[in-house]
Amino acid sequence: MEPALEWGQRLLVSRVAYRIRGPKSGELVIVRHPSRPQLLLVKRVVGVPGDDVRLESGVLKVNDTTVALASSALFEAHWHLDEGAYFVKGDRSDGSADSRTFGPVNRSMLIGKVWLSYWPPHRWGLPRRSFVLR
Amino acid sequence: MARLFHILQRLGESIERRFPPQVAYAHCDIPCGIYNSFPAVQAARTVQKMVTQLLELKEPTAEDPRAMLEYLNAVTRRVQIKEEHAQLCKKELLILWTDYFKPEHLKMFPDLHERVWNATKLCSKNKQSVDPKAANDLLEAAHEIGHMWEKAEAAKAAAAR
Repeated sequence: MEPALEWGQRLLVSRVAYRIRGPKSGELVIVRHPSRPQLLLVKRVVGVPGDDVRLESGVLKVNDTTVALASSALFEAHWHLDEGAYFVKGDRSDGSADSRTFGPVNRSMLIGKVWLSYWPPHRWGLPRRSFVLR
Repeated sequence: MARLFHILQRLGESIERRFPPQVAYAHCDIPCGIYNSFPAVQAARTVQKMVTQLLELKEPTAEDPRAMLEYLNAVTRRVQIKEEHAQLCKKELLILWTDYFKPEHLKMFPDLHERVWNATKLCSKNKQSVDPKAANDLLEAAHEIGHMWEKAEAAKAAAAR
């Protein structure tokens, strides 16, 4: 998740944020791995319900806007995100298991919103909402 | 400043001993053990799509160099994508085979080795030819290995419960 997060960084996660409203594009979230629910991942939301998400030759497009450059995922795919479906992605395109490999995730798999980084001190603060290319 | 940092660190460590934080992973590499059959199936699907499109392309009949150039360009692009995705499919299948599946999975799937071997052979066949049957067979083979992965994951989740 570099440059947004570094290894070992401590985060406070709001579990109630998404009971009040839906996740927004660009937010950092904690999400359960769809096929290994005990495994928690930290990812960024890049697609929300209603969005069209395409993978074409390693370029990820959301509503025809490129949001990530070439990755190891060379395959082609198209998803229209229905109600409750979210597309999550790691900031580093080259080393991330995310919706490009396991597909969109259901809202129930989103544990919470990353609210605050409290350690290490130089990382203190609210996470920036988006590093995705828009 | 260094002393304050040290105090805060000690304080944080003692709090974490009492209330250990949950760990969320950011990366996927071999050590984190995240595998999925989806990339192999999607690559096989792309190969099938390229084969279908190649067979639908019409060679220009008139003496039109421009049309011929466009035709050759269209063929080349699809062949290139077919080649790349057949290789990607092979790579993803081999990752599942060598890194994900363990000896205990052979009890669940005694024909695992043969199925992976046949599927990767089909990847090569799809590189060598423009054959709808080979493309369909590859997609089916990737699906079958994907189902094996799903069953192995379901068994692992059941054992964890």
